[in-house]
Amino acid sequence: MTVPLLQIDNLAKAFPVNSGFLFQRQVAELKAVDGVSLSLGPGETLGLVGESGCGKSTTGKLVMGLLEPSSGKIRFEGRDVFDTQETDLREYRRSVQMVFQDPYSSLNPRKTVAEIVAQPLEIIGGRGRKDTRGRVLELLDMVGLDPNHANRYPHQFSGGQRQRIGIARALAVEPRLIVLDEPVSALDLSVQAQIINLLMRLQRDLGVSYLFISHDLTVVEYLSHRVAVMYLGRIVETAEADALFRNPQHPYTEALLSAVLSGEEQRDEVLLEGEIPSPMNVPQGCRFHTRCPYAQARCRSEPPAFRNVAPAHAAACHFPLGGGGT
Amino acid sequence: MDAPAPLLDVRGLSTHFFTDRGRVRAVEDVSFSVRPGEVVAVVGESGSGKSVTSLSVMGLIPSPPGRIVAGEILLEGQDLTTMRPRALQALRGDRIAMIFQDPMTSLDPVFRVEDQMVETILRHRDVTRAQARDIALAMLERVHIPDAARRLSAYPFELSGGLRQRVMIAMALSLKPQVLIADEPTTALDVTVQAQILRLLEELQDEFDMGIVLITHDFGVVERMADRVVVMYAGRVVETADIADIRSGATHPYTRALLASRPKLGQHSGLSAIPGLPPNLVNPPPGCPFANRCPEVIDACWLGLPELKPVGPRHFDRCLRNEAAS
Repeated sequence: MTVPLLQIDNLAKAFPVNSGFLFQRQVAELKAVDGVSLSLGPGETLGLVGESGCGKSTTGKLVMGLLEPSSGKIRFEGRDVFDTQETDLREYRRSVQMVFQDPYSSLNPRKTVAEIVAQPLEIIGGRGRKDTRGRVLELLDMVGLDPNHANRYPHQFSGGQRQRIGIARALAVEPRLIVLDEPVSALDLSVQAQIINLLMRLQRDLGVSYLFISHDLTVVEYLSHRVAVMYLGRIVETAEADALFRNPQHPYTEALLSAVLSGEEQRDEVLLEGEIPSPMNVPQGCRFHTRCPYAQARCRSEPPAFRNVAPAHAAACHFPLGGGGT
Repeated sequence: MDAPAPLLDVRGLSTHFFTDRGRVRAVEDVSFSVRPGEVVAVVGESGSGKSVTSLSVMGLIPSPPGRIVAGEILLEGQDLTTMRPRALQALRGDRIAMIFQDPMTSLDPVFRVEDQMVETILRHRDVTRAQARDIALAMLERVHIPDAARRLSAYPFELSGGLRQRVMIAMALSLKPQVLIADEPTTALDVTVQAQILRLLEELQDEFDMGIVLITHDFGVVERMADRVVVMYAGRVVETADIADIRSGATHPYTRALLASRPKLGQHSGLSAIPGLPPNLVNPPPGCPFANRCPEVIDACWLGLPELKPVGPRHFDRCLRNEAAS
């Protein structure tokens, strides 16, 4: 078997919760990510779906090396990212880039587009000024921006165009993997489709892998080859995009799908009670049992193992839904 | 079917903003009406004028720089645009109420839920403080807030996003308004909570026989909730029809392009984006505002603004080509 590009094993990140003003002491721990395992191949898109507070963005930051895990490992091309013997973090950050949700706060308003896109190139060095400029213009063209606008400032661009600038900046150092954290959520529908199509074209042309983090299931399905669903710091289900959407096995995935208002194909509505519990106070047993319409006694006491329910389709549920389409 | 008289009748509304850069024609000649028990969805992207329309109806346009320059807003035959501010204030919250996208910024952070609700009720009703508190409590229970008596004395920051939106709804409906304006009521919420809130709005509408104006950019929400749809683009209504006609046969190229740019579950390719951007509203070009992005544009489109003409029973559209065809 070939080595995956990115391999995450049992990853966990806990944040200390402090109390007190002068003499702060730790009173609790917030487990934002609690035992996540994922893998991602070259040229592949893995969709990471979940609601606010499920840990999907923290997972993205861990993969970027912006946070250090409390435990678990992230391997990139087989090498442990956080082991300084094996990986030079500076080197790693050239291979992995990020595009953020908010194209307004993620671009420096005092720099021109050319300066913004050139910055990663200057940091890694090795290019003359003229060469850098040439590469910047090439990148702007690649993401569908007019190279004649290179000397404009971010405020002169619309939201969609700014997101293109963010994508050009991420592509500058020719990364192998891009972490896309809700890259189209802040955009209007018509512009959202432009950016989605751009991301798909770039992947086809450049062979880059995407970790696509989003709460929007329709967009995730459209872009992803495989999908992982997160709930309260854990992966509850993962499968090929088709299988996951046509034949969900975890009740949470089913409820998420039922909440997607996609018109024609109305499923029977599965309405969840209440909201996501606080990650500081995770329910015993299965984490989802407080909202699960099918919860039984066993779910309240015993955490379910994450196991295969079909080839390449795994879920963390004592009573997977089974049956269905495929 | 004999339609009852409209509760709210907006006729030829134009709201402009007088800025340093010139007059921004944010809303131009917008008409629609809402009957009891009817949900009218006003759909559009950012800058389409949908929110300015709702603020105009509520009399909440900041002036200066904004002003309603033409048109009538009739609430049961009474024109709100010519009403004195004090009379309008008496009406707002009582006969017409509004809920906003972000319940955190529209609730006052330094007052308890009880204080905010009781104040609203006392302002409009001749009741004692204790009676007002009972009304507030009953309303919180009505919107299914668990443990309502305790939540009454909570501050907004102590509530989750979904609970805050329920409080907003309870507050808006505590005086049983005839018309509710809901401006992106679920956009800030997670999908499973969004489904709960939409279900609640449907329930309450049945019970109170309210007319609802639903301002949204999300066609999923429209398909789920709306009876009638008003599509706005660049400050103008471009198409209006019953939801069934929009679903099966939208006629305006913008509406059709917008529907096609929305990924649906089960779709992996063929997402068509609308190229380009909406026009500047300071100096709008003559002709159709969508002409520069329209896939079906003909020479005549650049010359004059098409009128909103009927293309079927209860179905109107502002497109030259359909005008010629009918």
